[in-house]
Amino acid sequence: MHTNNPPSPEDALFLALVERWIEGSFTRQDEEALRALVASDAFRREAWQGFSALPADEHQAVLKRLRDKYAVSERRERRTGYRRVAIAAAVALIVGAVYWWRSSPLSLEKETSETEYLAAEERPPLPPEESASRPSPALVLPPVSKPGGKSADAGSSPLPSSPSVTAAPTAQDSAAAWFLRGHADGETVKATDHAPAAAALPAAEPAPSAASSRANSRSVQPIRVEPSVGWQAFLDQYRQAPLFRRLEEYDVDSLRLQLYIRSDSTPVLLSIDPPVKADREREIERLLQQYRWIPAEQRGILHLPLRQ
Amino acid sequence: MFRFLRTKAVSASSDEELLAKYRHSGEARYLGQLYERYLPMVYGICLHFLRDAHAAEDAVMGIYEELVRKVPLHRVEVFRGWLYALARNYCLMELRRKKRAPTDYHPPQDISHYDAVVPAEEFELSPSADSEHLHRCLQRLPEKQRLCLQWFYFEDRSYRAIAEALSEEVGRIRSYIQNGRRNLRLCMEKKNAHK
Repeated sequence: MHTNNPPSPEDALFLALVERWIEGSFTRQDEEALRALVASDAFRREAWQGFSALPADEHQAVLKRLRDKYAVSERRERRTGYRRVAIAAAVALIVGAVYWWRSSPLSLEKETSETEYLAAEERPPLPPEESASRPSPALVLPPVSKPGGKSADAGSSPLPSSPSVTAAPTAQDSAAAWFLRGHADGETVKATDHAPAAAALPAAEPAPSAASSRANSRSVQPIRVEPSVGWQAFLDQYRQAPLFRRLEEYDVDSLRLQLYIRSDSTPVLLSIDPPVKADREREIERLLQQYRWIPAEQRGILHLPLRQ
Repeated sequence: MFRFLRTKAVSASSDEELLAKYRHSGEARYLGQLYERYLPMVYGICLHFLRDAHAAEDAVMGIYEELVRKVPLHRVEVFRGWLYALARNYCLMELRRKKRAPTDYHPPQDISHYDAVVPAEEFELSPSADSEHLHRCLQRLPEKQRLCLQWFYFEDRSYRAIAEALSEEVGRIRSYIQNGRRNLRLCMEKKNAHK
């Protein structure tokens, strides 16, 4: 008759007395107490009439079975908890490894050699006709593996796919952001099927210099972007917008947005952490598009507060 | 980031808090915790109406499913009262359904268990009971019934203690007491009718 979460004190006493009645330790005093409890409440009265109408041994067996069903779900809950801890540990490990790799001398060395390679590539000017037939490095999408195993762009791209090149905040960023976020409704997107051609993306930006790209990837502290009207003015307007109230449903203090600011100061929303619903994401994107942002031609973060 | 690691302590929450948490999060564990509080009482209600342990067990699970379905549709102010009404209605519907299909009804195997019925109003002997007549009626009872009544009511022994003294099962003692009390009451009423 024991429950993990007893109801009201009267109900708890009632259940304890019924338990004593089933076990056999029931006495005259118990009977008097039970009589009073039963007389004062219809729920208890009918429950008692039910218990007393059938053999008590059966009650024990059935209640044990019912309790076991709950115990199973509690155990499952605990198992889920352990699994969550394991997943969190794995994620932390991966994040740590990536961070370590990015800041390790080995990574920087590799990056430097790639930068030198890029610089060497840029030096000899191509003849005009050849230049026209070959896409600009900034507009080349990173090679995408086809199911068959061959790179989609293999052979045509003048550049090897490397972290420093693909990280350049260009049209590739827009394509990558589009690719990573899907169509803002969470559907799984195949790059080969749906990704727009980089040239078709609006306002494709020229690639920043290799040196600035390297500087970006080397910097540990991400750049904070802010609206050109000033942070406070933006905040005041944002907090009055309906979007702010709708975002209060999320149980965090702020959202971490990763943006790329184009040369004309318009933002490209790359990611939101923690993820929000697709319609909220679209609203955030619309809000961001209403402002001009600084610094331009930079990738940076923005913490969007969810509380007053 | 670690929001998903949080496990919430729900034991100390009130019914209404648990219900609000369930409505807000949709997590079945809150409703499960809430239902578990009243599980034995709901089982008792089902026994009262259905008079069959297995049917009552099924009904307890059925009522939970009903709860999951109905909680989002209704404004529940006092969960306990609402659950009581829900459980009652569910059992009455079950009885109605069984009446439509009478071949589904299986009477309990051992009808003697019904001797143990203790309606609340049968607990008390009349306060105006004449003690001399009461003792006379007691003497007329079968020995085991008389002994059980005397030990339980006058010597404050528990069912188990009486069972040990008589080398009987507790369930049997329960029956002796209920039957003895009923016979005693009949005897007392007969005397009052003769007056």
